[in-house]
Amino acid sequence: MHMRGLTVGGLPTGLSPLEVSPRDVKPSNSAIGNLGEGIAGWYLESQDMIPLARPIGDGPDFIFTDFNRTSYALVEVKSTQEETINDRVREAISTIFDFAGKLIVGDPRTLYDCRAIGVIIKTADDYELRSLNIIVR
Amino acid sequence: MESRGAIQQTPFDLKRRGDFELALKAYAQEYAKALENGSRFIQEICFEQMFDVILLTYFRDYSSDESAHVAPKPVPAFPDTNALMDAIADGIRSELMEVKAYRAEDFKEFMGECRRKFLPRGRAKTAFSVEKEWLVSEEKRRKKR
Repeated sequence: MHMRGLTVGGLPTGLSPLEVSPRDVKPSNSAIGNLGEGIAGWYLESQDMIPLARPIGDGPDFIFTDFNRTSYALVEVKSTQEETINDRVREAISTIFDFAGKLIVGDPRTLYDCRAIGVIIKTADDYELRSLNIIVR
Repeated sequence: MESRGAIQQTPFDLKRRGDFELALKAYAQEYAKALENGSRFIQEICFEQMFDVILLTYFRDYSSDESAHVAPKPVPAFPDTNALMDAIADGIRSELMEVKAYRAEDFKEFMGECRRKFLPRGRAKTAFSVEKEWLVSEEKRRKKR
């Protein structure tokens, strides 16, 4: 018996002509991630924070600081097209908080602002941003 | 409040714009401030950025730019990894000395950490912006042997 999408021998034929996979019409995860980081960076700069670095290798996505260099924000950004981002933001703040916990041992005089920012990209010009932060001294 | 014009001069922006010499000096100053504040983590972050900026400078200076129709420059610049690491170490050391933030112990620790990230064991890619192969000649290395 011949089934749709399969050859007579039972092998998948792939997509039929003009068939569009959901993957083809959705932006890539990298694009969504980059867009979210850009929006989060704009938000933090609008809060008078100054970008200092994107750490090399492991670590938070960004390090921001204030004008006087009295505190440093460790920023992790999560972005998605889905409405359900709160769990990912909570997970991110937990990761950053653990990271800061290790730093406090060596840096008793520094104030770290652990921030997790969730960006929901609804359409090309409609974003929602959720920010959760814990200040660690 | 810092004006937007001043923010454009942060080491992050200088590096992003390709003003590597200025970015290197700006990160050295941030390193010195972090040393003063006791922010060891920020010291490490600034050190890593200096390492990365020097790599980017070498890559810019020694790679060819065919699109600009200019004569290709000699690549790569270093006979082996040790020569590259020594050159980077000299570059960072002189910048830190200039801002009076050079501490031999910290320098050794941060340089060791950067070296480990730049030359990861196995097949992992370097965490930095520039690959080793772009700066260290396999051919020259073979000839040396």
